[in-house]
Amino acid sequence: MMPENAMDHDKITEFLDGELTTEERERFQAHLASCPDCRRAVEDWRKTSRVFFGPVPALSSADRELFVRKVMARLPEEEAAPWRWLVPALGFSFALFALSFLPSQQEQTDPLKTLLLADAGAAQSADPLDELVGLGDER
Amino acid sequence: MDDKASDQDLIRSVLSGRQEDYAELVRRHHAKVMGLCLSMLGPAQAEDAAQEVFLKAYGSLSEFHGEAAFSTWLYRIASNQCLDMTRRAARKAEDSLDTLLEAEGDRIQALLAEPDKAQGEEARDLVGRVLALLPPEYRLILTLREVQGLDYKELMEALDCSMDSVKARLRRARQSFLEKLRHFSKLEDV
Repeated sequence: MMPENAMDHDKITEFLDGELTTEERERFQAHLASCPDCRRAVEDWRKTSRVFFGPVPALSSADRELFVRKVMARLPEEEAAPWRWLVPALGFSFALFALSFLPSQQEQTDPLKTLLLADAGAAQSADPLDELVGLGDER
Repeated sequence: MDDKASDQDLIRSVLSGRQEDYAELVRRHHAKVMGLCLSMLGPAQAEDAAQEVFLKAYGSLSEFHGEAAFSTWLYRIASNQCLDMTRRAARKAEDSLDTLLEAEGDRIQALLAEPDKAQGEEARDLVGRVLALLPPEYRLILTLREVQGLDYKELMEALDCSMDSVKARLRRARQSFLEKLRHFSKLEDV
């Protein structure tokens, strides 16, 4: 029990915790020699501390490594650096852009249009000199 | 990264995307965090609690600015984790002072008479049950001070309180614990 009429309780606490300056500690030790209440308070706590606040049993390095692995396995997935998603994003945009041309290509492959275009092409490819000399009709 | 790299270097490396460097930080501080969790929660819950501490620390790593040591910052997270879990467990506490006094009074008295026998597994279990009689905040500060050896400055940082508050809490925690022990010791020893 902490003494009621002895040295300041905080001083006993600080002495127990090794927080006094050298000078303060020497003064407190001198006080302990003449004050049975403070001496008992210090002894009581030291004895209690030995029973209830002993060292925690050390863990083996194998236990430690197992623990490290468990923690690492539970970490959230690494976030990619900002530039890393730019590459697939740009690729995807390009693909979309390219796909936007597909409907017009389909129009060109419409069978009726293809036929008409082929006729027009054939007409254009006739030799203009043949037309001039009237050979075109003979053929 | 080199295992001689400072904590700060490792943190910078993890934040820049080298997640694997976090393993070295866990390895370095595992004993402290696990020690606190073991003292506060016992072996059944300690490992889960310690894992949570390192996961929470990883999630908030960008908030660590190095004002205190990384270990002290971890102690703060570990303290909150242990307090949460202790409070939850306290709601379904098995022992009151009276039941413990009736069931284990003699054994505890024997333990107090022979402190050196407090190291076995049975003794540690008994010690844990007596410590569970303390309010979690008192148990925490006594564990941080007496078992983990934190000084007042580190306690201020770990518990996020003033120096006066550290001293007052330690004094009250010790007084409260000695008063509880008095019930077990009909002798005038404690």
